[in-house]
Amino acid sequence: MNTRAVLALLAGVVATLFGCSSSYEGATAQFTLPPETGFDSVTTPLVFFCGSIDCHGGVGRNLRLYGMQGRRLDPTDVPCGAMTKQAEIDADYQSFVGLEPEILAAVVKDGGKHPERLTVIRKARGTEKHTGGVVFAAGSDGDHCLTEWIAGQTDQAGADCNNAIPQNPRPLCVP
Amino acid sequence: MRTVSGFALVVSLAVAVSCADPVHDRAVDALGGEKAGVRQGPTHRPGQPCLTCHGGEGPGDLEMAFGGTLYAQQDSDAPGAGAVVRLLDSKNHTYDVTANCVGNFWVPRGAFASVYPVTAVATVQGFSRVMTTEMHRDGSCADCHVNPASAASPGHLWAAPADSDLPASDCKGDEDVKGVASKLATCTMVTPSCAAPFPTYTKDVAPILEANCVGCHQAKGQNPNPSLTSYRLVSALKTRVTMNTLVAQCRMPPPPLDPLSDGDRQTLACWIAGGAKQ
Repeated sequence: MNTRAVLALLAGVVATLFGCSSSYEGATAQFTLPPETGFDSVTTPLVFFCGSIDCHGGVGRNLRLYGMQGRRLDPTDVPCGAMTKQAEIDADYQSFVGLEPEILAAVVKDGGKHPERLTVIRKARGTEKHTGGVVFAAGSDGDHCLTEWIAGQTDQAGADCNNAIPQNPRPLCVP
Repeated sequence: MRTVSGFALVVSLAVAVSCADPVHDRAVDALGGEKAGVRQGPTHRPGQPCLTCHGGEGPGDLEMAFGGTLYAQQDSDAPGAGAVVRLLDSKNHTYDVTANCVGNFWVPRGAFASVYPVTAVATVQGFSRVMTTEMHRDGSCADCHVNPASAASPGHLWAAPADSDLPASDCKGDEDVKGVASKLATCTMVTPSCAAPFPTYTKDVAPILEANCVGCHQAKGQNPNPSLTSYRLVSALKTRVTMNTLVAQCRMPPPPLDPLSDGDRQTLACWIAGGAKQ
């Protein structure tokens, strides 16, 4: 084996090691992202409207959600079984902030202005192609729930997130 | 010349391979073969995700918007035969469909102009069960609903409580009930021995279709695609080929309905052989 071949092999090994070594949290830790505080309120409408097993509860989605109305994180739980658990809220948060951390950080830095820079907001509003259609129209309670949380207005976000869930006649899992 | 033919063959193969969807193919393969004694039709493959084959990518002929299997009870494999499944969409449109003797039910694509999210209620023998979440994009019930319940499935669809006393279904497979097996055993391929004057659509074919096929194959029927209500539709090449295959093999009308008589199948075959004249 000549020197060039050895170097190429070595470069491949080094590249493979680097490619496998970065952790998910490490990838987002360098950005100033919204803290998880208040995300439990966001999770409720997010999972209700988006997290069914045939949508973002599916394993093929970039935004993968876990919770009571969809896929469960704990293998001993079932959909419509126990209430959404903290570990699921944590996983949903990681999934949400990990979608476009650079852009999210920029929106946070600007105090939440122009959240439509985020794909997740555009898709929810239906201004970008989205199989699920318009889920949270611009200006709706669901839209405010997301955008206010991103802007750090967690109290307002909590109220709007709560209002985003219609009570009747739409069905909702009852534990 | 040989080089050109070889090149054409390579190009054809490349095109064929590039058009295939390996993900879909694997999903179809994963369903496995037909259960012994059960032919393709309304009672085959209960509990499997209908739209894998009937979602538009084939190989199922009938395209469905929704499809599933309803079981009588949560931990029972007994079918919810005769149950009415009511689908309710986000615009408050409803569509009722009845589960057949193995619990299968489906909505042909185009029959229900639904707008997601969609939910459902199943009712059997006075018991009702409401779906407590929503479908957002997938009309194939078994993609989410399979037993046993798990982190990714609330379990199979069921309608009645465990202690309810529902009448047992008399149907295990489409060839084992109502004398269908004996009917199909006598169904032989019709070898056309056709001579002029050939059958015509108006005089010979339309009455057969009216009596046996149009009940389902019309705009408001259970299977509107293909519609068999006019000469133009019936004489379309695909319909003719499909009819010639499915009818000749007694796959249509589907069991447990009676297949067409030998005479009727001969008439259809000769109509096609004679140029499908109006």
